[in-house]
Amino acid sequence: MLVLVFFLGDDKYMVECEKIREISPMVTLKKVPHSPDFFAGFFNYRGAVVPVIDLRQLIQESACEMRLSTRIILIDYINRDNLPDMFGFIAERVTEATKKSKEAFILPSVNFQETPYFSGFVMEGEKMIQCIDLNVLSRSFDFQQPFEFYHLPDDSLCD
Amino acid sequence: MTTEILDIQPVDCWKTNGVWSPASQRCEKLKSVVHCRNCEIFMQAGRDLLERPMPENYRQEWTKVMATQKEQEKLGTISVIIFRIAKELFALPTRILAEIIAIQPMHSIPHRKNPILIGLVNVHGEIQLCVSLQVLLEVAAQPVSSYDKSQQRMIVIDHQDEQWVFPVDEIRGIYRMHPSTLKNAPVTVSKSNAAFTKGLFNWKEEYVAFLDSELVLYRLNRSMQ
Repeated sequence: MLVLVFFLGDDKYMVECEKIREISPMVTLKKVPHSPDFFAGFFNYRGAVVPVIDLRQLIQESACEMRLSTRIILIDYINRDNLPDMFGFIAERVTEATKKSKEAFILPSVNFQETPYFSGFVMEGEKMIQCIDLNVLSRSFDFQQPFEFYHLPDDSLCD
Repeated sequence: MTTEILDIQPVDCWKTNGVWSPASQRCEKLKSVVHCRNCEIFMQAGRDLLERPMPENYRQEWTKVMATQKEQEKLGTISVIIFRIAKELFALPTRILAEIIAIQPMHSIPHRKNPILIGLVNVHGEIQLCVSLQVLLEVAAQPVSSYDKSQQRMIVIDHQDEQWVFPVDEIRGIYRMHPSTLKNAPVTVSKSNAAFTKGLFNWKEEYVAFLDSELVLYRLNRSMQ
């Protein structure tokens, strides 16, 4: 399957391309006061208001650097009301998409409640590239409710 | 932090001893990678270009672009080639077009009685029948004085192994047209012309007659028998 490769700081990550709607260059986002650090703002995406998170802020607690290769990745997902919805995340060095076989993904035996969106690893030589599960990431936020990072109950990780 | 990136000296070994250098002394790596574009250093230089900080107005520009609705091109458009014969514009589907060539000397055929067949032309060493769409479509000829020969071309069409060549007065280009934009030809258009026309469409404030390619080819075939 096709995966998108990007960086957060010095770490390489991957997401599946299937859920990606569009990759947009970095734009000016509408900031919201009192929102969590990792919430980058709202994106006027072709007339729709799309919430955008700074993935580096969420994972590494420092904001993405504004380089030409820093882009917004827009994801289609199904929200809590079972309606199609969209969110975006900012990532760095978004310059490559590559094909990986399903067997290349190796699941670790432990997962952490704070980072339920990490799924498996792909080995590239001696390096380990962490994959982010967009389904879990999209369910980790409750964009309708007062906005905060939502820790999934343990049982939802089993599916 | 951004100054750090700007300080990196740009490596341009592909210009000093790579494939784009006039020097005869070549990089050792070329033996294994053949061309600079396969080399790690060149690839990294390309990646580094994207690692530059964003220019001032980059974000504003893209914010504007991303905020506007995407123009959706209609599905099912067909590609047509638009050409002019005398004063009238015609279009044929591009898929039957083989090529456009400069006007070739025509070899007339003795004792020809058929006004549509105007001669033989040499197309890349092959002899092809040259026909007149002007006669077939009954387009009124222009006065000779208004001729601009520099615009004249020959269109070679190739459909199911049949090749035809015909001269036109001008090629206007290839354009994508949606069948729903076709309008019926007005009744005042001469009968034979209308029969070959599937419909008219507007192109740069001019009307173009979209020809029924199958009927044109059928008639050409029939006229040769």
